[in-house]
Amino acid sequence: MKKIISLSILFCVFCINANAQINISIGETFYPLNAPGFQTFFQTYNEENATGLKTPFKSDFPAAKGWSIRGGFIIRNHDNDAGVYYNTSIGVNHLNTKNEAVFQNNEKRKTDLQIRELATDVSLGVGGDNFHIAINGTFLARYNKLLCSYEFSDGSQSFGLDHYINGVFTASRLCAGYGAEVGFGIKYLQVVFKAAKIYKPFLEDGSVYLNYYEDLAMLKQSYNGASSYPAEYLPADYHQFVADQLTSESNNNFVYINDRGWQFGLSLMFLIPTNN
Amino acid sequence: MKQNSYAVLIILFAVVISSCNKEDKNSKKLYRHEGRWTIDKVTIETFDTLGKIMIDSSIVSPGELVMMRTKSFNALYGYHQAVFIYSDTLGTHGAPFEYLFDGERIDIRDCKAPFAINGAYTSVVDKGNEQQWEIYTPYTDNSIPTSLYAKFSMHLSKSKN
Repeated sequence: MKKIISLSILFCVFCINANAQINISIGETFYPLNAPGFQTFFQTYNEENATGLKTPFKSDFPAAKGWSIRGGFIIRNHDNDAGVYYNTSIGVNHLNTKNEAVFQNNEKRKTDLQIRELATDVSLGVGGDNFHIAINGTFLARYNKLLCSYEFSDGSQSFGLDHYINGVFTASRLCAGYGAEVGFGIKYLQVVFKAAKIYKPFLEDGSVYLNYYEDLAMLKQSYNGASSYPAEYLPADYHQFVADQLTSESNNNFVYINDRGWQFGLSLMFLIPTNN
Repeated sequence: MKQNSYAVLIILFAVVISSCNKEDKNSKKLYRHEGRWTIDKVTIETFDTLGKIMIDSSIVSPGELVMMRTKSFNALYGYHQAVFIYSDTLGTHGAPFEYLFDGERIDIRDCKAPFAINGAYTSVVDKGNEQQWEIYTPYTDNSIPTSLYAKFSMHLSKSKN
């Protein structure tokens, strides 16, 4: 970690001396998830509770939306002539999405997914003061938190052990992506639109490294239920979970972090000149 | 201008590095609760299948909770020590227990007090001087065949002494 920080500082000092500009960008991020594990969970939960549900789960999480903030350096031409454009930045993305099923008696099974990302981007292209177009690569450390709760008909929400799949399930992994960006603006203010395809995370086949949605609190392990007990991991196939919990667990019937897809960002970039 | 840029750079790195230290975030939230809390009241509501309240009752001032920073036997899992102080006809008693707080839930376990407070509660109100925890438990009562769940709400306020 120390090496990375030291190298980053050296790189930044290099950028300042190379007539680079510091940039800070704030914007909206939009991420249509494609999460196969959750799709299985939603589908099987709907099937298992078909008679009791008034409004079933949607087949997948709706697109996650949220904000992002980044800081970094740009090297570019300082006139209207197009030249080399280079941008490197680091920042955070903060996205949320929800899905819920409503029962006949107005009780709800709620799933609230919070996506937190530490992102580094590198963009290379052509541009000047008013316009740029570039290809970019992005590297993400993603931390997902699923708040799985049950809402009773009086409106109170429970994360407790009253329902087996209540809990705070977390999972994390590294992802990478590639895409393009385009920016317009005046000298020190740019509007930038980015699109990046988050490709299948490393070892996506799951054969070597799986990171399941796990409830890390020990309170579930301490539950001394007889034949069934609260889920320590979020089950993927809900039929199997209901039919035989022990078999379900021995089959690793869990949702693991595997979302991928296009991620879009629209941001306002402020530029601070380092050299006149 | 260049000096300004270095200043911005230093601030940026300070923010990034400080934001990396998230491992003890829940402990910070938890330690905010450290101290003596009065249980103002415990309300009990029993619901039928349609969500209609069948029984509504409350217990006023059943005791106090003393939440400590001291880690308990299950420290590895984030549990800390606490004491439930209650009074009965024989005097005032202290029942030790351990608790975990993860931002959404409070798990209370191993409390040997006659007034049962063990369980995994959902944190509904989480303020510096006020807390409310709720727990649902299955409820059976022969006189109310349709009742399903009883909701216990514990209302706490920070003791001034």
